[in-house]
Amino acid sequence: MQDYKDKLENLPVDIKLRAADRLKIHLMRQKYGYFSRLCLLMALIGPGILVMIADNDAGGVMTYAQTGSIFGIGFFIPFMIIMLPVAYIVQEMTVRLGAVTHRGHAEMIWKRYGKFWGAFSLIDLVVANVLTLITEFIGITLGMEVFGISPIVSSVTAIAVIASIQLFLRYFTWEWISLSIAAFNLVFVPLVFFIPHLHWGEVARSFGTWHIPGGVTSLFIYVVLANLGTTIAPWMLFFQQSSVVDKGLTVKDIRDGQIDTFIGSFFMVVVAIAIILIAAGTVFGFTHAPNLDIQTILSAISAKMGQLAMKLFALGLVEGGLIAAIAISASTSWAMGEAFGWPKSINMPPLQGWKFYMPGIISLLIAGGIVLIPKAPLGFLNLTVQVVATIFMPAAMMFLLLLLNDKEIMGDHINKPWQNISAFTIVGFLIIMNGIYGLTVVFPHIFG
Amino acid sequence: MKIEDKISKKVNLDEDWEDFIKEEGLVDYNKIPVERASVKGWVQIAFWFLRIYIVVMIIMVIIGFSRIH
Repeated sequence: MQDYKDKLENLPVDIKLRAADRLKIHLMRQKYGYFSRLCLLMALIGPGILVMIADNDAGGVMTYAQTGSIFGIGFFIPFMIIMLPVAYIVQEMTVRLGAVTHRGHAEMIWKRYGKFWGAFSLIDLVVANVLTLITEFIGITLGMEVFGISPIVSSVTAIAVIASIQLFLRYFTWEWISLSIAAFNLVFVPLVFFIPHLHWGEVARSFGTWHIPGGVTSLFIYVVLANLGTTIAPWMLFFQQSSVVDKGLTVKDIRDGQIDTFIGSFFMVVVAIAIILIAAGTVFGFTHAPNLDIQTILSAISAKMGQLAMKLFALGLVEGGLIAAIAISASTSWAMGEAFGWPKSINMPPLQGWKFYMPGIISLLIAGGIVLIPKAPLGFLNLTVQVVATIFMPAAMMFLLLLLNDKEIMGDHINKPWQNISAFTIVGFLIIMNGIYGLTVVFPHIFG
Repeated sequence: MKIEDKISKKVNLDEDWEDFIKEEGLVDYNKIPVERASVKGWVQIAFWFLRIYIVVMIIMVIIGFSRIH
């Protein structure tokens, strides 16, 4: 082993640290047997689960809760099941692209399609990430207030925790701590069994009826689009590809990356369904307000399911904000590093990688600071993040599809016809829906 | 045959170190240039669609935000 250590010493610092991890993977791969295979899978999973759980962020929790509160379970339970293949097909492409090229999405756009599109994507991503981070901090501070912790304490603590694990830990440790935080996302699932008068037969029947209470209205279209926007966000494409690259996955690990992405998609949908069921069981039918805030929903949960359930729900909201803030700040750092050719790895020691860490930490400070400003226009900021994502999403998706069909860079791992058909269908649908979503955000009464 | 040989293939990283580095992608990719893609055919159409989409969306956003304020 000493020989290998000597050889590793000759590599650049970020590659040297990754090489140590890859050496372990390399040795694990040589072993036969189901247990060894399982160990290898456990070592390789991470980016897919992280990105999907981080997708159930504070904004996502609020969106699902509002969906259940307004429309119950009739339409949106089967709808969320459909979101599983949608999320999987889109995110799986980032695994292949990262494993084959060993480069992040921002770098590939910049170098393959020029500085204009590279800069366009980078600016959009960074702006959207900072604005999304603000919504995560809103979730963290609101959730922590339930436990009597003031916004300033929760905001500063969140920044300190996220910055510390990013600065001082290596990729694998950072990933396992992030996955441990992500595990709290499952807190919503056991709560489902404490929903008063929940009839599982009714849930099963929804798959046959797809009933929409109140019919197709502009509010219904808005909620469908909000759920779609929550399922696939621009930062997710950038995050998972960069994460795959930083972890060092290669073409040999694509199968494990796909399993990882499927597991993540599965848990994302399970948690989303749990939140919809909780909100449907506690709030649906008791109020007709279209813009329910999270405090109203928390009060309803407290009244129907008790204080403990409400506190666990609030904990889930905090976790959603925290894990998304970890992922989004990392995606900002990776994207900046990729675009400007800096050494870019969470493996980097803080002093050697300060340029790489700086953008993520600055974005955390901005977001964590803005939520503390009294009377900050948070509603306007939320609107802006939706608009930026709406403009940016088709571009990010288009570049993903162009790159996945680029034989020069993808070789044998190019999209197969069935993958293109499903991906183009999803992307086309998302582009149309994003366009309509943009319209409803800018012109709220366009559908009457 | 020893039990160790049954459960694991022999790996000789002393001899195959360069292959290991190459296979595991442990090189500085910042030093390897990526060629610009040639934008033609349906790709060119896609880019024009994207430009039009962005311009239309920006105009809508300006109109929308001017109504808010």
